[in-house]
Amino acid sequence: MQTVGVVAATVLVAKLIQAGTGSDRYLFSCLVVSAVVSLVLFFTGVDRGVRQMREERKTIGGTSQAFCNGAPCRPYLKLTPTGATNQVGARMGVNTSFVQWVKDQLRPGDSYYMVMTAAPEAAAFPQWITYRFLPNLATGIEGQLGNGTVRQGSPSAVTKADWVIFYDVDPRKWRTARGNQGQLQRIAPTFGLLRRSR
Amino acid sequence: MRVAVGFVAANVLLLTAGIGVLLGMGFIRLRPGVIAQAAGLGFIVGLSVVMLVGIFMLVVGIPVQFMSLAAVCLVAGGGGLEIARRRDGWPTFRHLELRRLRWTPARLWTNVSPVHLVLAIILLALAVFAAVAFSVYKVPPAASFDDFAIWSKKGLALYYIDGLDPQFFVNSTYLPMHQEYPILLPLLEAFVFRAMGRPDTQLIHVEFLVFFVAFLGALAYLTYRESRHFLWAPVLLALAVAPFIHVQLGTGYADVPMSCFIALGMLTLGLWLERGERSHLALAVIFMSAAGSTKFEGLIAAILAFGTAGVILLAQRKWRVLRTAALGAGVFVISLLPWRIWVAAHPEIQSFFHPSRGFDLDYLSQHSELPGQAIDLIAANIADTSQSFYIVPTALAFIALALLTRPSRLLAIFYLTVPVLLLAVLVWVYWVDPTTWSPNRVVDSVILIAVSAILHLSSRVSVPASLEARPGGGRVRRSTAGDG
Repeated sequence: MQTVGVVAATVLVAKLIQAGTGSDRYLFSCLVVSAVVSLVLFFTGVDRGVRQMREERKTIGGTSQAFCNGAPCRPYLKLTPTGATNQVGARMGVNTSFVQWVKDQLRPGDSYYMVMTAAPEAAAFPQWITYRFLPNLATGIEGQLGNGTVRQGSPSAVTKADWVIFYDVDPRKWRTARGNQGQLQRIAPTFGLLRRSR
Repeated sequence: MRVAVGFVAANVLLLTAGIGVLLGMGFIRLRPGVIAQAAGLGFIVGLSVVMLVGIFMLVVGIPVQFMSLAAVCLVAGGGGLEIARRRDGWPTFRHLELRRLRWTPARLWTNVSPVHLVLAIILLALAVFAAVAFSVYKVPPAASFDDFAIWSKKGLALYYIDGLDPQFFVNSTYLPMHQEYPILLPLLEAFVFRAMGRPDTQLIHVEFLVFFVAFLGALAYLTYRESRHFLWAPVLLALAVAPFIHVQLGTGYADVPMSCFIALGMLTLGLWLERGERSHLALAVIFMSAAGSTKFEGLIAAILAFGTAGVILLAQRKWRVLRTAALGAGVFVISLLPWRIWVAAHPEIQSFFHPSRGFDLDYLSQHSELPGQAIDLIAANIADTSQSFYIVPTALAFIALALLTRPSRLLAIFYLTVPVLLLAVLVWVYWVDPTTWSPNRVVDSVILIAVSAILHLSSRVSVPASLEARPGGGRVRRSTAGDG
């Protein structure tokens, strides 16, 4: 219908302005219609775009929720780069305090194995957490994988890792690589970090 | 400060490389004014060529650090400059055309016309829009799922790791990261991160804005070379502020950049079909290779574009030109081979899409409602005038009228066939797996191909002499690739 509208406007303009002959005349009219419509859309687009973006800049990253995972939600503009990045995770529901604490423990070149909760609401968490942990690389993830599937544990992947990270899983109930030696630190009953002794 | 300087340096290097390529292939002359006009085109060409070389380096195991890619930029820029210097000589003071810039307030006042005032208002509006857009693009970090799960994640990995470390790029732990996806965009991010000295995941979004501005400049320059009027320019102005672009571009997704490459590839391939200048074909190969190295949809669109051009030439029985086209398509294939070979060499990489289901008649008949759904979703997004500003309907009107005129008929067929085939493939992909694409993003390439169609076809429209801004300019010549 929109195309029919443009063609109708073209025919109308061709009748009004007697420039050119034959199909050239209609092409020229189509060009005039296109130019006029585009100019109008440009100015309205600038007006609307500038107003929306100025508003968006102040509130970008903001949310109607009062709290993002326990902490007050704040727009990105008012945060440091690290704070803004963590705010993304917090808005998803990730325990960003734990993730930041783990990130601070990892040394360059350290690898990790992540034991994730199998809860469906954590579906997107591993994608963000593995992004956040770069440049440290994962040897494996069990539990919620991030695409809706729940992956079983991999003892061989555990043995390649320097750390085992427990995200919303009680380390005492973990069965994948029982008997792993190492130092376990916990900041909550189900959030812990195991430094594997190799 | 280091971050800002690095950001600018990375982009200047890409521009240098592109201008060098354009000079080397003889597409532009070594004159300051011409180089300034072709800056947008030069930037996109430079980015495409340097990233394609970078992908090759990664695949063969050469560490891609800032200095190695900077060296590629300088070699391309310096080589092109040297070729052009031998051909055109150094520009002299006369070539700067400073006389045209000697404006005094009195002269300005007496020469000013209503057209100048409108132009000034447009420029002011654009400047305000660009400034506000800049202030917004630099704020959010990688906040969208595909950004932190795919594009920025790979960009960060390439920044931290000097190569395609299998522990990251082949590790199934990182699914659904789409490890088979080409890596032009992540490599660009890594290059800019390295220039900045640290991965600024907020400022990197401004790179997408820079890319889009350069894209607009490239389209404008390519059309300007061909046209005697400027009545096509408002379409570019509308595109510059079109909401569908800015809603997506700031998220760091690859759809808009890939569609920009496709649009430029279509325009240059269309110009080659019409005029037969090999430099247009060379540019088309560069842009199509970049599109195919950005996203799968880009690869599909590029294959369809070359295929359609080939069929048109075949129908015209232009065997000699067909050979040239085959050569171009061959270079396109070769440019994509490194990444495809690398993916094939790692069978543990799992693809998210399984085309075999698309040939299973039982499955297809059991899901016969899906094509209709896909068409409805695509149509709804294309028809959303608040986002895409009547671009596709206008292009369809141009194409319908051009089909009636003999000189532009082939172009109209070209610009109609490619997006229609692309949409058919997208509908088939949806039929195979409805979770494969997002309707608001998948239409980007169709809308931007429509922009190319409008620009090309409108540049061929004869306008009254009073509207010819460049009576002696433009290079309108009715010939086809066979005559070139």
